[in-house]
Amino acid sequence: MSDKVLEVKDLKMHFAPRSTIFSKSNAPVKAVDGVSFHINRGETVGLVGESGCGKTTVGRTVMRLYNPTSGEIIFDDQDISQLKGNELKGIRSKIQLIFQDPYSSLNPRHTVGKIIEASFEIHKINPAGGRTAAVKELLAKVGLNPEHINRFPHEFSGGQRQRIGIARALALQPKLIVCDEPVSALDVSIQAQVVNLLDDLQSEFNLAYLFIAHDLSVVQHISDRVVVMYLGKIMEIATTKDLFAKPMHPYTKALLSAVPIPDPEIERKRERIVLQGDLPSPANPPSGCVFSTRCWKATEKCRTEVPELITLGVGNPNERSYACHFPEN
Amino acid sequence: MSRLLEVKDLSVSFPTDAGVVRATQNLSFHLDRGETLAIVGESGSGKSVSSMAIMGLHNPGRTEISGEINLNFGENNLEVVSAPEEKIRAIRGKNVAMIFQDPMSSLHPYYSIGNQLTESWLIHNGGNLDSKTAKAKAWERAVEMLDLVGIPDAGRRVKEFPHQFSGGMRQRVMIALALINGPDLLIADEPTTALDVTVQAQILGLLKDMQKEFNMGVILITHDLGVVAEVSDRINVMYAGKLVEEGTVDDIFYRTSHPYTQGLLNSIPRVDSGVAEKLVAIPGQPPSLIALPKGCAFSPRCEYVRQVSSHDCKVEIPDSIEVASGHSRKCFLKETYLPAGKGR
Ligand SMILES: Nc1ncnc2c1ncn2[C@@H]1O[C@H](COP(=O)(O)OP(=O)(O)OP(=O)(O)O)[C@@H](O)[C@H]1O
Ligand SMILES: Nc1ncnc2c1ncn2[C@@H]1O[C@H](COP(=O)(O)OP(=O)(O)OP(=O)(O)O)[C@@H](O)[C@H]1O
Ligand code: SF4
Ligand SMILES: [Mg+2]
Ligand SMILES: [Mg+2]
Repeated sequence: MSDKVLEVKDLKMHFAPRSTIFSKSNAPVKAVDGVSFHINRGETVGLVGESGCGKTTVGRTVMRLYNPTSGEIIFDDQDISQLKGNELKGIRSKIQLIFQDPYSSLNPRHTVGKIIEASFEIHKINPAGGRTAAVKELLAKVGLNPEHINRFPHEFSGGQRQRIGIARALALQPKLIVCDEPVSALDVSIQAQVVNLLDDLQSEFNLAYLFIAHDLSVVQHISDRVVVMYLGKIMEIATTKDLFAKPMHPYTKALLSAVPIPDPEIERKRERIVLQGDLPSPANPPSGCVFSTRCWKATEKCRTEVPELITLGVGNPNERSYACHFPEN
Repeated sequence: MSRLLEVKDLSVSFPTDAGVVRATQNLSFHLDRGETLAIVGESGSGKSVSSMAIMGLHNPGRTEISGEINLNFGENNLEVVSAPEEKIRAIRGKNVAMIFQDPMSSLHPYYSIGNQLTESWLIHNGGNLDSKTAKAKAWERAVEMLDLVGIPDAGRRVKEFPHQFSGGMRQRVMIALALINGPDLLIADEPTTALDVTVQAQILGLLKDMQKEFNMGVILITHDLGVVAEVSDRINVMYAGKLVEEGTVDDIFYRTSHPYTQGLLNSIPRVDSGVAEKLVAIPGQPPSLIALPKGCAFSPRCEYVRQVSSHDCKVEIPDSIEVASGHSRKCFLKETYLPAGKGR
């Protein structure tokens, strides 16, 4: 058994062109365009980047909710990128998803018990001691009152609904959970409760998380390593410590410098790198380095040659990768 | 600095079938020209309701409002709670302006940006000009504003429609729309919440520049304490419709005095903290505004309740006490300051 629960190699997910009333387009949207990374067992890998850079698409493709355009998705030592039918269903129970909006992902007409039990039903699983007992145990695990098994989603607060989503994801004892903005919709005080819960569950079940979020402070708190994406491509991968202390990619540097720090004294002294301009369209990405149109270091080389993802210290715990012709440091 | 806004004992409630929602209770605060006041607090704590009251935007038939909201613009002074609608309309969009989280909700999809900007200018400035001169002036002003908020090629883009702008650009257009009449007071309700951090940094920078340009008072509503630390001079912390602590940005962050504020500061992770310690969450959930707990509304979640011997937090309601000049809180605790923020 490999240490890696997931390894993604040169994954591409291009969407067929969409014409809207406002624009006729025939170029595919390169939502994910040649992405490689891995997640170790029991590890949390954060996935960050601006809106539209392809984070959700990576998560959904890895779960095989989409058929990838090309590339490999090795889950538990098996390439699942081309699996179909029952084989795929078997794998899906081992990779679960937690959404941003707990409410829209829970059927309002079903009780909490029924919602969680549905996972057992779909996969024809009968836990020892019966399904109801198993559901109650899951509710207790995520910090909800097991007596509330017959309540409906609207009777719970936002944070509690997110706990229901987590209980549902845990039901099938997954090895990997894709958390897509799991705390973004929650108030800070409630956010901390859910983040702590995810932490505890990880230790207890040796879960691996792909943690997608735009809030870098939460990502920094929860992740062991972080993947930074921009316009469908990976810009940098490093341990959380290295990435936040010594970013190598200019984009990472700009991103970090934009995060406000809740400390007025530090804020008064801080220098910001303010990126100019807007994110280009993934249907028409810039040539060369995709970040070159907004990068303050860009030269002619950047505008013509695509920088490869270079990995330093392959295989050691501080392994890090970057895709830039002129890295920092 | 001159006093721009003085709110006294403002209470707003909504009678509903389920009971009376006490959205804000007895708020008192003020704002000076050139100053930024941040309002922070959990979802549902009454941040938006109180700012809508300042704009005179509550439906009088369905809302009970009491207290005073005094606006002081030199010649156009107004007490909003008792003022007739036409007086409020004369200042709304001119002296007082508002920007929201979602620019699409305030921009009309079928009219060009220029159309919307000029209309807003003409309502307040067009009256004594003949229509042709007025229109020309309005377009000139619209282009000037787009330019000011950093829209490249403003002369051309003024003719475009909202969907042709990116999220960050739309938020710039919204700011241009809010500022076209040079308001005295700007209320920004979660202006950057829907934006990426890189775009947020651009927009916050822009708001700061605009504040200087127009010497405005700014009320910034946000749940992001990082943003608060970056841009505000003073902070109002709200919990369950009440102002539980107010002070300068340094008072709130370094001389934290209310248990709820402390809880908020402890529950946020920081990008510069380095170590991944456990976050200190506030237990439980915010109360229902229809059935507020007895006593201090925070008492069911407060870890200090047992340390208070002078009063019973679960029965008595704490009044506002000034712990230092300009810094007050509603809490019975004997200790004035609580360890939070720095040195955690
Ligand atoms: N099903 C689809 N069909 C066509 N285009 C899509 C589809 N899903 C996503 N896209 C496009 O792919 C790009 C990446 O989208 P994705 O949702 O993965 O971004 P994201 O990083 O998750 O953004 P956000 O932070 O806003 O959630 C976007 O340009 C998006 O419009
Ligand atoms: N028109 C209304 N009728 C009844 N209740 C209302 C009305 N408007 C607001 N409320 C209630 O008043 C309370 C305060 O709402 P408000 O919008 O001020 O919260 P907020 O602090 O701005 O929260 P958020 O951070 O979610 O924007 C909420 O419980 C809300 O449901
Ligand atoms: S009054 Fe009591 S319960 Fe309320 S915040 Fe202060 S210590 Fe806590
Ligand atoms: Mg997404
Ligand atoms: Mg609000």
